[in-house]
Amino acid sequence: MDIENNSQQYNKNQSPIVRGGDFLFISHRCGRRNPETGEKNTTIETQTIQCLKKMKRFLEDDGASFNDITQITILLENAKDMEAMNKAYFSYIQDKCPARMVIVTPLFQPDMLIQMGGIAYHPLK
Amino acid sequence: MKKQVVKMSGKGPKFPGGVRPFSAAIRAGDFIFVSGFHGGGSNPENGEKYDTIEAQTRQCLNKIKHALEAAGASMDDAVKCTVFIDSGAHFEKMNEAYREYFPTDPPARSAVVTQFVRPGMMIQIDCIAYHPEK
Repeated sequence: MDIENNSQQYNKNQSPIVRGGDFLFISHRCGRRNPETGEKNTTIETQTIQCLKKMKRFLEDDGASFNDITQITILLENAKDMEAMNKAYFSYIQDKCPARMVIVTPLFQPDMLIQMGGIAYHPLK
Repeated sequence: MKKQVVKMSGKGPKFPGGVRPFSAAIRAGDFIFVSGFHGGGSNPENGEKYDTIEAQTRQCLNKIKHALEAAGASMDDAVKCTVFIDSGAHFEKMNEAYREYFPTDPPARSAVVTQFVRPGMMIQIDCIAYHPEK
């Protein structure tokens, strides 16, 4: 298997995105902070959008695009956030709709409401 | 070759734009990624609720089978499943129902105990299948 990692290291325990052949595997990431403004995202809507923007950036750093995502796994801190998360998710993802799995699980930090990771398909020429 | 959405029929909650915010399955090259399906709800033919772990497991796997068949593949092509279950106490009974769908050479699998977004939901399963295009 051809594994490479072209992205900046954010965390020495894991790579944000790793290529394996034609596929890109994106680590789970939260959306607690807006890197453009430095402000904290405190709602499920803003954290959802931030997670999606982060995935987009990782993919674009590796020469792929957000359209290449085939599967997303969403980890949600609170089941009650499902509907609001879905609305924000849909507003960003529109008709690109990858396959998806959503589960409710405790996350690592008290202000972390959501994490997303996924798999993208982007064949090398 | 870009990814392709596997077209399926079926009812589900509507969202802005009239579609669900996920695809049932996506083909990406030689692989098919099936969304995590839950096994809740009731049988449309007789109205019986899927309220046991066995019934919900079968319902999840029926949906996965339907999605794979819509993509031109079958359960034999499944290479990896992830099972999310509400309680370790349901593990053995889930396995019994699960084996009905994968009697020989079952796919690789991870199983995790977790919570779900809706009450009554006991299990969710997703799947990756390998089915090279001709």
